[in-house]
Amino acid sequence: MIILRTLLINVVLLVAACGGENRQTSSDDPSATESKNALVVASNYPLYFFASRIAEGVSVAPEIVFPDIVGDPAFWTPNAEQIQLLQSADMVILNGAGAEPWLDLISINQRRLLDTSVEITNRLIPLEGTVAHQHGPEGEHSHQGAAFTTWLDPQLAIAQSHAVTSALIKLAPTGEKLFRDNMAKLEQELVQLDSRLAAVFAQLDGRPVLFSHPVYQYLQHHYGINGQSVHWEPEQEPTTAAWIAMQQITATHPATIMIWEDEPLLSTAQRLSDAGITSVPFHTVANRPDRGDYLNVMRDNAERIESLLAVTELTSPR
Amino acid sequence: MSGALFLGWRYLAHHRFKSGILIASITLMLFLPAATRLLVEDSATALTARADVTPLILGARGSELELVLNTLYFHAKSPAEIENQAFVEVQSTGLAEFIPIHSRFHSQGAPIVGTSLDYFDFRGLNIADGRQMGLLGECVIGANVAARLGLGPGDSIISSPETVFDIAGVYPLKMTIAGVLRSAGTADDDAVFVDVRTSWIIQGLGHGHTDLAEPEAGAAVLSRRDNVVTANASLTQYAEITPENISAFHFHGSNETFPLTSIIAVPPDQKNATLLRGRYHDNELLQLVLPGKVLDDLLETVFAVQNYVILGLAILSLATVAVITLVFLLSQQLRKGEFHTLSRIGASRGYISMLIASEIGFVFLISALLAAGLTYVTRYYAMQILQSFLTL
Amino acid sequence: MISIRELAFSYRGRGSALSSTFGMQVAEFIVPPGASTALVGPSGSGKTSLLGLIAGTLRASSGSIIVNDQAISNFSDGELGRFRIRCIGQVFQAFELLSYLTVIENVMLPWYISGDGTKADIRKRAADLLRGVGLESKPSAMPGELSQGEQQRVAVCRAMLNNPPVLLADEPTGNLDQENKQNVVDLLVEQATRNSSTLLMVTHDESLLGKFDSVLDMRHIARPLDEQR
Repeated sequence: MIILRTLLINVVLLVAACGGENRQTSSDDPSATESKNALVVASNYPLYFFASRIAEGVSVAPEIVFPDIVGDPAFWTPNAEQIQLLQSADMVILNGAGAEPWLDLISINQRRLLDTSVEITNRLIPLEGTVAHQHGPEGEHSHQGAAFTTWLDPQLAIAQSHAVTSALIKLAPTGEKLFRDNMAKLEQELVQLDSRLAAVFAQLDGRPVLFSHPVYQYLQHHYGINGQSVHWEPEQEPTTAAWIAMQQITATHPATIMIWEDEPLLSTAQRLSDAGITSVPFHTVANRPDRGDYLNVMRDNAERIESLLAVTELTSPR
Repeated sequence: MSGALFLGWRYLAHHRFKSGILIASITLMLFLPAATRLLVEDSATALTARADVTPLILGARGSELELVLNTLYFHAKSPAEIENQAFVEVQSTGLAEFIPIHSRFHSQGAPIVGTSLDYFDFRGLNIADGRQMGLLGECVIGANVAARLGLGPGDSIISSPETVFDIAGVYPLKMTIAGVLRSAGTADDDAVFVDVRTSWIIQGLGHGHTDLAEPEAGAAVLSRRDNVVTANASLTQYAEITPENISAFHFHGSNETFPLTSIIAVPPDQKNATLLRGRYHDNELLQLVLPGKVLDDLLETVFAVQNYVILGLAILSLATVAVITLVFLLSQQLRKGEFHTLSRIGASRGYISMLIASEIGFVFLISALLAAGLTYVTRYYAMQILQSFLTL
Repeated sequence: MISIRELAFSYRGRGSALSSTFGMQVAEFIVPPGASTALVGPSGSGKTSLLGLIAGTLRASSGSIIVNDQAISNFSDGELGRFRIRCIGQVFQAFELLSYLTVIENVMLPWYISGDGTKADIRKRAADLLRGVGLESKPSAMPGELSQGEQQRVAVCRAMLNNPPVLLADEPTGNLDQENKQNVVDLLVEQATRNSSTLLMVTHDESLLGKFDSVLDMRHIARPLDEQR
């Protein structure tokens, strides 16, 4: 009887075991299920500013983040943590127009990218004077494309901001009205900025101007500035060859003003002044300014030009 | 009657060798068809499961099965390729989410799958250790690759050249492992994943070298003319992408001509799927296939073969039963004297019948339990068994 | 007591081209209770058949057989089986122990068949019987490990398990050496005496006849019936 009992118990146990599922478990999604605001990362400071202004005061708005970038964002290569931030974002707002060459270097979900230049492609300015190289059957090629400082043209900035607004609405549809209200306010301020800059640069009246770096194409094009660029860094002494090249330019383009990205060295400014060229900074505000915001900086830029024009006696002919 | 059960059990236990052979024979007779059916059904389920969650695959026109198998299991040695132009075009339709796949190269026996981060979301793959790949040249590896090669985040893995003598073509690229994926129980566990652009670099369509525009390029420059710099053969190309040299990496030519082996399409609804299929219905160069249907056709053949195997096993089982019956009958014949003794002592015919039945019953019961246990174990380890043979 | 009257028994042999029938008639055969009787006679005289008729493993064509006050002639097969378990202890020439049971399990075999009584009690009874025959140290041994004398002693213990009123032994010493023959017969007589059982033992060995209360010659008990076709 004991044997029979034992066997019966074993049969019951085995049948029970056979009936149980024992599939391998699939990988679990560790992401949190509780709802939280989306995360948006901006690739440069102006976009961060526009997005922040559009999202201001909207409780459902995504969190807008601008990574801690040292130097010009256009030459930024994100580190591992920053790449993870970009990968984890629900959306990455891009300037486009080649302002993010790092996109070619990292892996990121393409559908989370928002190129704010898509609608203004036909207004992008191609770069000139790029260095090509060849080393094989593919022939010549270069590594630059269009100018990317689109935000220096307030009208282009408005178009880009509209793209940002549409994207924020997709991420947080319930905030649409507030997003649009904020956008309207921002647009108004950008229009005012545009008028101010137009009035300021109109005073140049076609007089030649030098740019320290080829980053003012949109400013130049939008306000009809008669300018040519050199490749001078504010914090570096121009080389002799650079001076000679500049003089060759001014021989046919007698500029009396050089617009700089930042305050040049005193020695450089003095030497330029000796040559009859007054230096004036016009910050491109690609990265976060030490003080103020995009609009403050651009207004200060306008004021600086205006003040310069007011005190400087222009003697060069048109 | 429990005495008969006891005597029956003791007889079997005493004649272990004979009992063992009988039990083993009957166990195999019961287990083999069950295991065959189980493995075939499980493999079919696994195959179709992966195919069924992959809505559409776009690839070069040709063998549908090869296209599906290479996309799902990264099997093909020389897969047919399509141009990235196809990806750009189909993506512009907005009819689905599209995931590029470039699966041509290998590293230490593991397929290198060039794709986008969307692939991981699509397959539900998560990082178990380390992080997702960030910079080009980084990779994430499947759980089995990590276990087999003893690798983890921070280690490196080198792509294998396609042929030993292909010194001018595909060259080995040293890739840093950013992370290890959590085991998914699929072919993804056995793969090395890179950005599709990294796989193009492996193919030689992109590379990194000293900036020829800089004066430091020195001896590598053959000539400078206006804005054109021509390099000579001494130009050293980087065999590894690092954060320090990544800016030097670039591609030549339009990436629309660069190759892919397939594109996974994930349409949001049936309407979009139908529209997509209509677009490629008459395309001479490309085909859009339903992986589930392609594998269903394959499985029809597999099931037909299974039926033949089971039929064969059934016939063998009949023969086994015949032999076992003969063994039992001979055993009873040999034990006639013992049964006579029992009868003389006082055992009834019914008691002796019960004794014989208990022996047969024990043999079959133990066999059935063993077969059930083996079937259970097989079911538990089915996927590992299948993966080791089929690399699912 | 064993009492047979006007018994006729015939048995058709199997497997022979000329079917031969063995038969015998017994007018009267009585063994008093508690007596130990040796049964002698030439081969084919019906000694084994007589034991079979008494045990109920063979059926008579006619006549009465009364064993331990039970008229077994009319018993069914099932009743005869139960009758043998309870009332008949049998010892065979070839010992006929089950090779796959231990010594003590062989002794307990009648219990495994009938199931009467608790296992603990029966096991104790078996152990006592083994002690009585000097095999108390070998309860777990297998029959193949025992000598012939030891095996037959185990068979005697098996026969005595249920304290049978009748003990039948069919040439139990046929396969034993002289010393063991004496020992086994002494054991049988001793067990029968102790249990007040009626002992009827078939033997060809005249040296053993002195151990019995009486010796009966089959030729005086039964007349054969030979029928040939």
